[in-house]
Amino acid sequence: MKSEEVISYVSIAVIAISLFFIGTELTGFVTTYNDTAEVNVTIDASAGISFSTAILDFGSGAVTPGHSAVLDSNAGTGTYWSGSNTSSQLVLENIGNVNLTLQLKTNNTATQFIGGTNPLVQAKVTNKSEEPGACTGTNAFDDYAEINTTLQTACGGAFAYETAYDQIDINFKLTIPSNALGTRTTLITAVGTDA
Amino acid sequence: MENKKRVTVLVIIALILAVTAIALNATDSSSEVSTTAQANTAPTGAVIGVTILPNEVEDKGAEVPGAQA
Repeated sequence: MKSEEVISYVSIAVIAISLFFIGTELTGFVTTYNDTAEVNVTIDASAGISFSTAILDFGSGAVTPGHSAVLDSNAGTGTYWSGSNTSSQLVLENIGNVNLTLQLKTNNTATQFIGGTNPLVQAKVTNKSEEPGACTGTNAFDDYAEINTTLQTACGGAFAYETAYDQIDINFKLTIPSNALGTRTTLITAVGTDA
Repeated sequence: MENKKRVTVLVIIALILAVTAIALNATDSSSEVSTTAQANTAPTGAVIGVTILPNEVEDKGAEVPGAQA
């Protein structure tokens, strides 16, 4: 057999094999019975937080003259206060599908909110009792600490999104001087950032 | 000489088709590039409130007349 014939046969074989593979690629025609496929779905990150309890009302009362009243929602106590004690708290929930870091602030200073001489507003952030692990990492409000108009970190590690532990309690302690008066409210703002 | 030309054309066609088949197989059209974006929440708010009533002032002048010893 001449070398030209050999080259011709090889070329024809290459053409035939190439056409076969090109055909299966372009048409999608599959010659095997045991093939696999893959289904993909991409779920985008969705960040969201919501106060499931958005109002904390300490009610009404008078301060004992010569003293400052101290109302503690965590302890459910009120000293030098004629009104009822309050034992409820704000409840914040991570309603998204990603862990967040959390920051808190008020929109008023303690003086703007309560008035009088040397008022004080303090916050305390804890996991909801049946949801340990909801808030991890740096927490400026691990114990009662003054909350002001600057964002302060509450859950520096993560505010978790898993349903079993995605809620935190925010308690408040108000120190009300005897020269404060009137109906007073302030807004608490929470900001979550993708951890 | 005529045969050599035919063989040359045949080899060129074979090479072109082979390269095309290899290129098609190497290209994975099902691949997907995904990206992620940082997600932040819009600030959410809650309200705390208290109503502070006037102090009860003891009025020592309001004693019952004649009650003094």
